[in-house]
Amino acid sequence: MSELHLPPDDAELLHRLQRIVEVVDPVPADVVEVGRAVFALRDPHLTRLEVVSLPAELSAVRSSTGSSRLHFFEHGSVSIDVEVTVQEPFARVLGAVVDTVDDDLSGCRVAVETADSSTTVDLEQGRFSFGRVPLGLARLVLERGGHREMSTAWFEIG
Amino acid sequence: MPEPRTLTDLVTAAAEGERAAWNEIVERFSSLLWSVARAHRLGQDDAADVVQNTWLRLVDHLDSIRQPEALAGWLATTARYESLSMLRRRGRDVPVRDDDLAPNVADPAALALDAAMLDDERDGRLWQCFAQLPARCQRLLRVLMAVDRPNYASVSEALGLPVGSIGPTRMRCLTTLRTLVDDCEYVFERRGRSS
Repeated sequence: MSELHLPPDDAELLHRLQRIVEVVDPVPADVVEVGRAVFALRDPHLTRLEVVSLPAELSAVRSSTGSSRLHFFEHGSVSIDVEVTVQEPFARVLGAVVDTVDDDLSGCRVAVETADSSTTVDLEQGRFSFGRVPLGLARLVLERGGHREMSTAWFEIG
Repeated sequence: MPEPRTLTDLVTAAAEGERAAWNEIVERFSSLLWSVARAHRLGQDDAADVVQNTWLRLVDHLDSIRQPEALAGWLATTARYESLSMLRRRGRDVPVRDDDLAPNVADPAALALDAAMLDDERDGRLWQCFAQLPARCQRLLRVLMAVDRPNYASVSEALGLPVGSIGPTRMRCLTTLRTLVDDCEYVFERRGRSS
């Protein structure tokens, strides 16, 4: 990749500004620590449900109760449809799981996980609902037979 | 001292589950992510969330990063996207072009606090002048400061600026900064100043 070649005057001025920023606005140590901790959320054993892209006009839904956003995920025969409705400062998350091959979803559970929280509910006739999900990034994890089996990518609640 | 590992080695090792490699990536790029978030004028808490979200996205993509040497650009783009999402969530408009280019009205109280942290009074004045630069200039210069060896691709991706406009914009921004500094009757010693 081509590097920027700064004239010495510019480089020196930027270097001086950088030293100022390091004093007045350094990266807080806890921000770095949180970054390190994110590694614990990596779970390579989970099968990834990929995002199914939709045109923006189809993923936003407006109704009398506010606006919602739809997200679709799938892998093989399994798909999860999610509707997120913001109700500040939380969101309501409704969804449905479908497996076109193994349609017996009894005993399945779904967890909504954020970087620092996790809530699990039972699937009821393929549907699930979470009432107070914090705004920000979250992922859904599908549990089958007591095992964490699949997860969505991190997606935006809000 | 052992040679620092290349990004390719670090990404491969982290994807295989090596925590130390992940930590090294986090330590190397946190200042870039923080700069991108702060350059979008996010407060400390929101900027911290942006940095965390960017790491969450990376941990999801570790296995699929094909060009680890382009990681800085990938991270900067993701941090920018997360910053814009945060602004939208907070109900704040993303600056439109006209506002973006207007001189900035800095918060005098915040600047006074910043200046109190700096030993050199001239640095305080320089920082005051920096705060008056248009938002677009502040974003560009903050990102340029944060990358060790700035390259056009990563800076372009971090800011959504066309590659061809980075050089001319940087020149204009630094010229404006020098003019502001001169207006403050502060003579920036361009050469020969030891740090």
